Amino acid sequence: MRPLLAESCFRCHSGAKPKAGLRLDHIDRAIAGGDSGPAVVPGSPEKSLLVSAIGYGRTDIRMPPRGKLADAEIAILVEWVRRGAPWPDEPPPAVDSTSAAFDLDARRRSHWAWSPVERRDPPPAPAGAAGLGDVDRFILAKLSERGMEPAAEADPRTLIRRLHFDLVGLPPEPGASDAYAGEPSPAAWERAVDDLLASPRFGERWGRHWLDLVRYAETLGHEFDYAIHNAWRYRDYVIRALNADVPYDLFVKEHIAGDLLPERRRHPTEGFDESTIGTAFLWLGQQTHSPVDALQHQSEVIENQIDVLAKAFLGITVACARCHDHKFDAVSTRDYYSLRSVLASTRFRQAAIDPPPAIGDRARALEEIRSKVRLRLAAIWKTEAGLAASYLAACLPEASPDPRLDASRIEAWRKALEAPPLRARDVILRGAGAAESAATRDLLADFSVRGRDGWLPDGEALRNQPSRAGDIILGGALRDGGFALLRRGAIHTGALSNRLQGALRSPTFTIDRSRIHVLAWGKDTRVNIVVDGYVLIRSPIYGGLKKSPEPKPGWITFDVETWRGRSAYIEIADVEVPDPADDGPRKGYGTAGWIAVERVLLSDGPPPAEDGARESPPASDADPHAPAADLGEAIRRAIEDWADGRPACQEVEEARATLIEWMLASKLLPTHDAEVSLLLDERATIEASIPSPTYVPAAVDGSGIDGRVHIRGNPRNLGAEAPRAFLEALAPGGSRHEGPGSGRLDVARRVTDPSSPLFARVAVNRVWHHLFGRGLVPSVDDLGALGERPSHPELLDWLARRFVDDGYSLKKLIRLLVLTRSYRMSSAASPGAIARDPENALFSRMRVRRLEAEAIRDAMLSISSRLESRMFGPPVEVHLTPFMDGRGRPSGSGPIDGDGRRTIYLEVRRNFLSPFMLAFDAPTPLGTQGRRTSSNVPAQALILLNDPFVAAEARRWAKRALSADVSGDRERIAGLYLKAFGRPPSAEEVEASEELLLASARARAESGSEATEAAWADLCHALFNAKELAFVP
Amino acid sequence: MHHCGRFLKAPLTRREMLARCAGGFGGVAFLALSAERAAAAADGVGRGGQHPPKARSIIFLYMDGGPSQVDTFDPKPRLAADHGKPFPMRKEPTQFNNDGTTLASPWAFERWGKSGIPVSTLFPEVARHVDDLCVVRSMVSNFSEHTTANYFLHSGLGLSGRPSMGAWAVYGFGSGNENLPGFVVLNGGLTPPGGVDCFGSGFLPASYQGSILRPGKEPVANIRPADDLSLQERKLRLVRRLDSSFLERTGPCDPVESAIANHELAFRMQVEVPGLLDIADETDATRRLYGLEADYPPTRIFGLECLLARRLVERGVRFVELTCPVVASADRWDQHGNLKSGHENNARAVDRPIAGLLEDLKTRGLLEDTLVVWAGEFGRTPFAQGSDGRDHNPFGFSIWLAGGGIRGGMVHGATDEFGYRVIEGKVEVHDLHATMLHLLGIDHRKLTFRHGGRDMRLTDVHGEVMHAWIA
Repeated sequence: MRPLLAESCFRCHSGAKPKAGLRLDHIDRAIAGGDSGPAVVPGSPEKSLLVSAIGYGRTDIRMPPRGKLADAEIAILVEWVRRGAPWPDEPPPAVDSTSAAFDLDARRRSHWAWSPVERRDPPPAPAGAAGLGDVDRFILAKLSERGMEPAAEADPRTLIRRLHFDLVGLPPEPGASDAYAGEPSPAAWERAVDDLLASPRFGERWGRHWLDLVRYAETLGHEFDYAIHNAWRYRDYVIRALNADVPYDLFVKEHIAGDLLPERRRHPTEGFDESTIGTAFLWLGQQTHSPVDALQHQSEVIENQIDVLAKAFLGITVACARCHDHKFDAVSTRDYYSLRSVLASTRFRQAAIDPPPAIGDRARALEEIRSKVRLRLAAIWKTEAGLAASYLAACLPEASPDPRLDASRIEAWRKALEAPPLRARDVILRGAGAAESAATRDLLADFSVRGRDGWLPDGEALRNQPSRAGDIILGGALRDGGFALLRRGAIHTGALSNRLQGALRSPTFTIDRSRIHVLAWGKDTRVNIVVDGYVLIRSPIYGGLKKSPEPKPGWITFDVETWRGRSAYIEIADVEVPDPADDGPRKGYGTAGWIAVERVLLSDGPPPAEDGARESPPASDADPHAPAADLGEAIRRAIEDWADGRPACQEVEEARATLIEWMLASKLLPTHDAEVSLLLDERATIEASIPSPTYVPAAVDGSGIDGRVHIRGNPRNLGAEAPRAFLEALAPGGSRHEGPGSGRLDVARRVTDPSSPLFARVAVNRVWHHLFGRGLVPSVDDLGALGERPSHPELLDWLARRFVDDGYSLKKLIRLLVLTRSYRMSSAASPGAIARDPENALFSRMRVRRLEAEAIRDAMLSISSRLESRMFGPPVEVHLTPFMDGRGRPSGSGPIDGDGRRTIYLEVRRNFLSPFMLAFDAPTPLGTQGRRTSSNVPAQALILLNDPFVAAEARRWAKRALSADVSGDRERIAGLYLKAFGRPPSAEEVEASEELLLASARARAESGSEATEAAWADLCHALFNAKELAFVP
Repeated sequence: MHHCGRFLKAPLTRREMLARCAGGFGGVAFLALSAERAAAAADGVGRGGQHPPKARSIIFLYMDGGPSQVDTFDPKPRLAADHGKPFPMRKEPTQFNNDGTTLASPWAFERWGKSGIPVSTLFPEVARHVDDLCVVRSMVSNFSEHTTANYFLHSGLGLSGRPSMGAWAVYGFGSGNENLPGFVVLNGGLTPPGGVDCFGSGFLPASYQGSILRPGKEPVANIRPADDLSLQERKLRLVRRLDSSFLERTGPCDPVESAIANHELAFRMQVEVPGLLDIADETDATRRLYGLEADYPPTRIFGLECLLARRLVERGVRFVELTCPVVASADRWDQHGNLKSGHENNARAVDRPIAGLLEDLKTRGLLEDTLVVWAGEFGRTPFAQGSDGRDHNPFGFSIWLAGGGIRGGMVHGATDEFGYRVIEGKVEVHDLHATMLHLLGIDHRKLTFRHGGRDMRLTDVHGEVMHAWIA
């Protein structure tokens, strides 16, 4: 047996660092086991993990991994375990002390980033440098230590161009350059800074930086690249927030738990809920079409959420702890799974963010009308009901008509009694219904009697408790009169109006039966079963989990045998925006959809039959003609009870409702009088004014569930409990969330806590990075042990403190930094600086930076005067080249110039990213990328030389230049240089430009204005190719 | 030392670089620190280079959709015996959940060459080269869906956004041609599910991206000069003057200098690339060899891809991936139905061209240091989907390798008697990647790139070199 173990297992399962923490080189160790628990239970092969692993009986653990042992070998090992796993009497190998337990406190103590942000005083200004600002004193002190001088101040035109690109991502207009060059005073600089910070272009520039952190895209990627509907509203939210200088801590809180904030931030003029939009960032990652393993898929999605959340806001790599305690940082596997529990208790939705007056106030008005209609109908029907016995009597063959009775009404009674068998008697007299055989079915919800039954409502249509049998409803399938009487209690999204929308989601439950039955009726709505959080419900695998109701009540049955044992929730959706993976209008969506759900059951068989019977009561064998007095009395009582709202058991309430509905249908009761008509007219007016909700992808809390650690990241190999909580290292007292829901709000508060050592440091470092081309910690997304160390730790802390003290104002921080002398340095190094600090890690000079892809494109549009200033809205479709191919390719290509919009408004389709953007290092939207690469590939030069977009903008620019009113070609040329580079040309440059104009005109055999225009276009094209366009010194 | 461009030498004076070394930074340290990496040096002493390379180029024949192992390289008589009977093994969930009964292969297998390795009649031409092939019958993937499996096969992770194996190969090995990209994708008409991100550079600099080459008028994006070349040259003359005066103002500046050199390179590429595609200098015999004169149009398309692959390899391109042509009445190798006609058409498109490629490489002495890999993202189920299709099967499938130091005429690993699961010699995608890099002389454990707080690898924390495959 031992040679067998040695040969087949020891390679991984022995020694100091065994795989899965399991050693098999001594029986004590085998019994002690590894990550997945004991491997051997002596005497009990059936309980021994080793035996099931080598038997290949489980899907998750199969050993040896590269091939099953021979049957004879397996038999040997099984027999060995059965015999009590005898082992020679030898001492077990010493426990390896180097694989000591993960010590979170030690980790935290030993790495700078976990220590509190210190209050620092700037070093004293050196002699002769009085008036130097705080930031500059930090920088200068370091340079002095190394015997270095800072570079001289850059020339004014360079400075103003630098400032424009950094703050708004666009080149300065010639006027702005000239003005500053003419009067380069500190006051003029401050004015320029303040103007740019106040410009709407600021949010477009810094918004793009932010989108890099949250892997912003508008599709889900993978096989068919389905749309993330309304993702662009998040992009607009970011731009608005940055322009409004929303405090950064609030901005981040909104990302994590904007939907849960007690006070929502509202759009100042339009009033919609801004805070909730922030949570869209959770859903901007990629998702797989029809994964065979939804649980695995959920693990990937949540890993990405945790990864982005931790890197973007805290600059740490928590996702590394998915399979093992972090190898370097103070993050344990339990930390990871605690955050996972938070996010697994969070669900995707399309949230309506409308301001209350738009929809909510109208819903309340409808509610009031509904009460009034009921009151009025109660009054007139009561009167009518008193006459029921007389009408019934009048229908008897020998009756002599009572003069008080209406002749046409008598006729209606007669007809009603003749046509179908009178069922009212049965309905009225029916007692308590037959009890269901509860043994075979599990009731998930009964909205007819148990309120919302613990389900979670979302949206105006579900603001109220479920309707009860006999309620007047103003939506659903309406009779001519414009209202209906609900015959069975149900949650009903059309109770007030079909135009109101909403969704109702069940608590999370485990699928332990083969069928889910939903008793529902409706139109243009759907019921979704969401298994393991998988919301891309679509064929081939998941198509059966989405169904739409019919207008008549009936059971909708889902076959969920495949998902037995899995976590799921049910979503009843009356939401016009499509679900993920539903691209076109399909069944189940509409502005006037509605759905009513009475009950939800789990069973192993067909749905209950008796509900069909309840739908149409059994035909009566009673004699419809007698005794009329009894029936009349019964009718009178039923209607009076209804009118007075006298409570009764469910069966009786339903029976009353059925009776009244039958009487209405038979025209035995009036449906109108003047007052009711007036009310219903008012209702119609209000309803017509209800707008379609504004939807945005967002988070919503589901059932709060504490998950478990997944051993080695395997979701089927569960370890210790991982309660919903935040990282231990940042919440020393523990932060377990005890209440219902996800606990995201707790997490949001902890992430943004002013005492956090990471939160403010990460933020100020990112801003520094964007302004100086390199962070004080160069690895901006990782302040952990594998990241780089800060070059100026004191300055970093000083800035972090200042940022917090300034109310987390990003604009104040940026203002502070661009007003420094350090920012205004030239890129030309001072003597000796290159030798002493080749990396320029100490900021002795400004870095020459290449513009980002977006800024290059935007600059070209700005220079050619094509740039549109219009902000916000759905993206401009991506322009498709023949090289952009594959499944999910959009049917149409967007305009080549993107309608002149800034790049941030162009569509980002994961599978069809713009080659222009990729060539200039725009990130692929995978995860947080706070620092872009700046590569140098021929594709860049080829784009500048030959891409039709670039050529077209050059022509546009030339045309415009030719139409300018100037004194001659030289002045015209000077105008081009000013526009493109923010400076006038030198005499040599003018001359060289003229040479090109001449050569070009000659090369083109054309004549006249066309040749002139082509020549100028060539000159403009050449200027687009100059490095000075894309590089900012 | 080369500069960062995909195929670009450093500008001659790397003043800052020299200063850096003088300042005590080793060149290697710089490589690790620099966001804009400087490239691998001369062949074989690239990043992660630990031993002399056996291969200098890789041609990856990507069989889009997942060819069926039991119908190509892994004969299973048991399927014929049990045809139409319920499949007796425990089954994993499938993509369409429409599992049928055990399905016999419609094709016979014959033994070929000295090695006697069986190949189905789908590949009569490739079969002649079986003594050069290492047939791996024990591949597994982690995913049953096309996109996740494609990303996994290409980048070692089932998500988009990671560097493709071609990008890693060039990152590690450097390029052998200054005027051509190091990683070229020859597009035959089909783009893999998951899109062009299968060929991306992920967190590696854009220089390592696969350049998609589409045989035709504009083979590479923007390669056709928008202007007459002499006019373009006039423009560039002005650009050069502007750039040099710009450089005077900024002071020594690597990125700008590199961008200047880059423009010159792009200018030359405009000539080089069309020349590469112009196959007028190939003989009629060569054209026939690759199937360029075949009746079946998809054969001609894939034949041209194979011929271009050889021309690229000849010119020092490091990694060439070929994608499949569109064939009638079949969506890739993805035969969820109509197995017979679908696989037949796909095989007809690629069999002759691949055989031609192997023969031509051998004749020219290129096969020795050119690794050819034939693989799909997964295999197919031995039981039917519906009545005449096969669903996805990542639990055991076949690929083959040839050339570039691979031992020919061998079979590695085995599936069970139905060809459903690996029972012997399991090979993960990471192992394939590790072996491919190994053949390029690169230790997959040492080829790393710092990103997001980790030293990332193509093989993540996995991968074992399959030494048994190496001659």
